[in-house]
Amino acid sequence: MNPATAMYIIQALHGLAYGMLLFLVASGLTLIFGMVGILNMAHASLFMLSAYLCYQVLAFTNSFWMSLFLAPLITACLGLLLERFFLRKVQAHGLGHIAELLLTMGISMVIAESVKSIWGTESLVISIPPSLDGLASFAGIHYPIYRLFIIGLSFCILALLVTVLYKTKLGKIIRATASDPGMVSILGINTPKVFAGVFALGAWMAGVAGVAAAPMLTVFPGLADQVGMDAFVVVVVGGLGSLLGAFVVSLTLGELNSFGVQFIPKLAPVLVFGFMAIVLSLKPNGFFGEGDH
Amino acid sequence: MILEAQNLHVYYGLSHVLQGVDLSLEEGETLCLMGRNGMGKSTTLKALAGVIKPKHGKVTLKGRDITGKQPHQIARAGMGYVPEERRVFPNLTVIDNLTMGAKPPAGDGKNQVLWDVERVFRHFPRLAERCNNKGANLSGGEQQMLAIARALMGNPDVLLVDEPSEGLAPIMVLEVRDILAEINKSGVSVLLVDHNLEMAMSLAHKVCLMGKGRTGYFDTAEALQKHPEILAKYLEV
Ligand SMILES: Nc1ncnc2c1ncn2[C@@H]1O[C@H](COP(=O)(O)OP(=O)(O)O)[C@@H](O)[C@H]1O
Ligand SMILES: [Mg+2]
Repeated sequence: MNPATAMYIIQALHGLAYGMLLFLVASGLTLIFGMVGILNMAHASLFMLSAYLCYQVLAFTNSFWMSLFLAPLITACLGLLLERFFLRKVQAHGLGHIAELLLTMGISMVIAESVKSIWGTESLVISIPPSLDGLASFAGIHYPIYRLFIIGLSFCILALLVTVLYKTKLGKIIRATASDPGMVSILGINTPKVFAGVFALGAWMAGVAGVAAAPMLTVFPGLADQVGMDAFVVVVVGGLGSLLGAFVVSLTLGELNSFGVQFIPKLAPVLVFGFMAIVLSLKPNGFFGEGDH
Repeated sequence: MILEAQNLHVYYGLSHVLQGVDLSLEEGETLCLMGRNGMGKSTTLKALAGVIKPKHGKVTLKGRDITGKQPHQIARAGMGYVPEERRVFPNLTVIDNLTMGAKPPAGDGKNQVLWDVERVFRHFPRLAERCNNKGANLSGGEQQMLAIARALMGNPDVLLVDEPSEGLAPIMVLEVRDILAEINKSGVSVLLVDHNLEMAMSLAHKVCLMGKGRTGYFDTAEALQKHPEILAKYLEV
């Protein structure tokens, strides 16, 4: 194959891998926003925490698969506790979105400081599991197996999410709750439980992304800010609460990042924000936003 | 008595909106609650459904005290409620609107006909035709039908319906009336709030008339027919 074409394909796959990871984080964020109307500032911290938990479980069990199973599970449980004992309390008092924003911001700081005091401020190295190490060769291209694994895993979770949301009764309840929670409870459904479930689901997906990202990105206390900022852009540009928007924009950002670094490395860090500014000036509610929040 | 409210008092902030509401609905009957705009009919239904909490008073459903319970607990105890605004889920299809809240009856269900999608579609052929349309794309009449049908899917013992004929074309009003009559015949007790006197009187076994925040006159529909002056006192502006 023409080396230039090969380079394009490799960059595109890099972009896809990061874009899908971003989607796993951003989809939870946008789902929670769609239902509860709050932007959970601690969401990316859960992603980061899961990456650290991956490191810890690896240290204990030496099994990446065990980490992939346990770390997101622990993260989801933590998400459940945060919802039950903090967010729900603040919501019950009707203190408004500012209070919820401050609360989740506080939680993200507590997680960041805890991570520093437990694991230190140095970057941790997590090696790629041996079974996924090495390069795959196809059509004359050599590409890291681990990144292909991330892409495949993310698509599986995307498929799972779409199936749950559109094919199950629970999914219908979740979508109905996003548009009118009061009416859902009139029909006999305990909506706080639905919120908690969605919160836990979002935390779990962020947790899976955290484990998957751990061997690929550097695990350090600033990871939450780095990925959180991108996820935030995805949710706003995609349209608050829109899953389709989150998907489209995650992939766009992934590619923008990947090709930006390749072709205009000096501008790469601001590309994302330039993109956000342009989209929002044309469509203030984002690509798929309905603007009812 | 399947549903009973005693001395309900409701406040919106400082304004004392319900100042003593008493209601009783016999099993298998239709009770019509009427009164001028702003008297507190919708607020009464909200208090019965648990959407707002009364400050004083007591509500019992099938002999169980449900005062102050959450809306979903009251629904699970056998109450169906169709709010004035209909509140069809705009982003869900007709069929998803119907199935998302489907549940079996609260009791043993032996006096009731079971409502499921098939039965609903037989009684609401318009909904069957629009089965895969989004809630947002329905006409006002269709949304009203869907709101009632969705409540039936929860197999309630008591159905509260707020102003179902509001904003509907005369032909749709007749359709809604026939459906409410059938629902009542199928074993559901109905508490209806409506401004359409003809429809209300044709459905009601009993009528309750409401003044400012208080229930006043209460008797059978036949008895009220003989006293147009009472009706005029409560309903004429
Ligand atoms: N959310 C609310 N906040 C404050 N006042 C309200 C609210 N809803 C209704 N009211 C007031 O309560 C009174 C009764 O309203 P409502 O129950 O809707 O009357 P009806 O259904 O008989 O027309 C009215 O005076 C109305 O203005
Ligand atoms: Mg009203």
